[in-house]
Amino acid sequence: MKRLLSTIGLVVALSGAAIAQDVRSLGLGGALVPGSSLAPFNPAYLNYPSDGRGGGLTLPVGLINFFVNPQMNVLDFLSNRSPYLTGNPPAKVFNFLAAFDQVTHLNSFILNTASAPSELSINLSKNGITLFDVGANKPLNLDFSSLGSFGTPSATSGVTPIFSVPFSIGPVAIKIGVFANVTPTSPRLDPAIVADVSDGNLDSIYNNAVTASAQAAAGITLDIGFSTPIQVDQTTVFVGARGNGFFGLAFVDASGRVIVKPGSTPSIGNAKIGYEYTVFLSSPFASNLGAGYSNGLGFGGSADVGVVADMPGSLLGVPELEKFTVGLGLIGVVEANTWTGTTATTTYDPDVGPNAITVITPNVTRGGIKFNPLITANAAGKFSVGGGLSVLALADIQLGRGNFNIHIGAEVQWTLFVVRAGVGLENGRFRFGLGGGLEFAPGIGMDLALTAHPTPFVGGTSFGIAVAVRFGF
Amino acid sequence: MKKLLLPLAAAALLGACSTATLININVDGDSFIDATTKTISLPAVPPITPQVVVIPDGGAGLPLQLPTLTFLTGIRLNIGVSVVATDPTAGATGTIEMFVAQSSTANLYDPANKVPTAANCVGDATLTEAINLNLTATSPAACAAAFNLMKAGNFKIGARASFNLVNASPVTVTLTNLDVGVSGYPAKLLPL
Repeated sequence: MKRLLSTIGLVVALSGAAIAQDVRSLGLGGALVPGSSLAPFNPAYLNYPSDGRGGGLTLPVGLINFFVNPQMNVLDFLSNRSPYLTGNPPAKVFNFLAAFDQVTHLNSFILNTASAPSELSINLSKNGITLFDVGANKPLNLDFSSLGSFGTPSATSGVTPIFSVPFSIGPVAIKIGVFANVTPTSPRLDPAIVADVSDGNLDSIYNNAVTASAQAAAGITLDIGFSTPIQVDQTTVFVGARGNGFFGLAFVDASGRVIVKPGSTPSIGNAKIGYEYTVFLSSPFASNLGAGYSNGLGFGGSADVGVVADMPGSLLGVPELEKFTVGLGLIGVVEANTWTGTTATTTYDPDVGPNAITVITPNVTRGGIKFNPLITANAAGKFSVGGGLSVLALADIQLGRGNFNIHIGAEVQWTLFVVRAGVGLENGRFRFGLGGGLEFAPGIGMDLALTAHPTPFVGGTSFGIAVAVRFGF
Repeated sequence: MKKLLLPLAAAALLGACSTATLININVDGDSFIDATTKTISLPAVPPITPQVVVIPDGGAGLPLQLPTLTFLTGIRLNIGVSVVATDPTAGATGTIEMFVAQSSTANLYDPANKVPTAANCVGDATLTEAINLNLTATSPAACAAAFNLMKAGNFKIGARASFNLVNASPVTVTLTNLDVGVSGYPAKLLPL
């Protein structure tokens, strides 16, 4: 029972992480739609009238697979494991690979669940370990890079609140939130050391044989934005600006490395291993940790500006065009932050002494001012093409902060029914979207979208369906 | 750290499988042996009337006590040794035999304990130029007894080689292959 509860707890926690994705945007291949969903990239959209579509609650439909797919029936597996674990091969099959793929993509009901290899060979030789799928007659890649995608990666950086309470006072939009972010970097093994020890001997010193780092921050955010429409002839121009402030209550920046040196003989068995790790800690309670630690905190802010223009189609001489919208947003025009705290560096060098040495430096200040903008330009045209059909055509481009994203998409509505599709290029990676939906009333409806992600280990693509519902609030 | 790494690696591997995935672990043993030590050249070996060598020495065999390996479905041991007499008239002949018995057995090298020769299960081999000892104790019934003893984890194992050389000749002994493998359903390691 305890095991069952912990499994359900894990699944619920993962599904909570998975519901950040907008199914409309997924169906449009990531193309940006004028409205509140564009406001994070362009504050002029803060008070832009929404078309009532998009957003909503993304359902963790992937959970259904754990009840309907006989090879993923987790309740049966946990409560009655005997038929799964006896016999050669066992009478019942629980597919860990498919379950793993599904649990890491809960916002999508995977249609083609991955087939686990029927026979897997692990070949160990002096040259290393290789995995081979005997049934499919191909090598396996033990690669975890395809595990990601809890929600869509945001182009915004810095502090992102885990939840926030938005409210408006006239044209001023206020958002108070709480942030708690952990960003680990995958440990990196120096490839040179792997090549060096292949003959059983270690010939050089490696000061960064393994390196890893992680950052964690927590605090409160306060965003104050302003957007207002201005009528210029037939064109409605929205101008907006926003200040994003944060007050940090905890910040940890940890990095470490492993040092490997040859011992008395070059044999790898005699190698000496040392390490060093540095932790920068900023917290109002850090002095409780021991002598030398100083209390600290952080604060900072950034500024965003944007403009949007809504033009009637008649202005452009296209009779089918109801409305044409262009927007330009700059976020992070200026970014500044400062954290005070304590740095502790612990070093263990087997050549220096038997014990690790820790050096604590209090009252350290980190941070600074930087110009780190993300530029988002978008265009949208709403057409009435007759026969009750309306078409929304979209295009956008994003530049900055290491991003180069470009999307085009279209959404066609006929009575209740909506069909949408889009393509995008996100930092060199091609993206395709296909989706549909039902609009029962303004703001009330449901959206579906096709999802695709690389299948872990065995390769190929897992296709699925994501579903979101909207209740008008 | 090691305590954490092993379950993590096992979990990662299990993540790529189902409960019905048969996993083979193959160790290419000879790749770990330095090439220069794989070959021994013996200058002018005098004529040998059948000489019998038991491995390990002493005749008692190697008693092994391993955990009961119920998840195993197969054990493979491929040893390739090439024994070449340079003089073609030397008339080199010989055999190698494999023995497996319960650990309580006093005489491991009793013919009753010899791993028999059957399809895909070669318990002995004749020495002409190379010996390939291939013990796959899965399907042939004749080999099942040896496999079940090894799977139970409490057994003695040994090998007996005999060698004959009619005329004196230089002899080259080369280890050409040493592969060890096991197959099984690791999901069975999960508690019921």
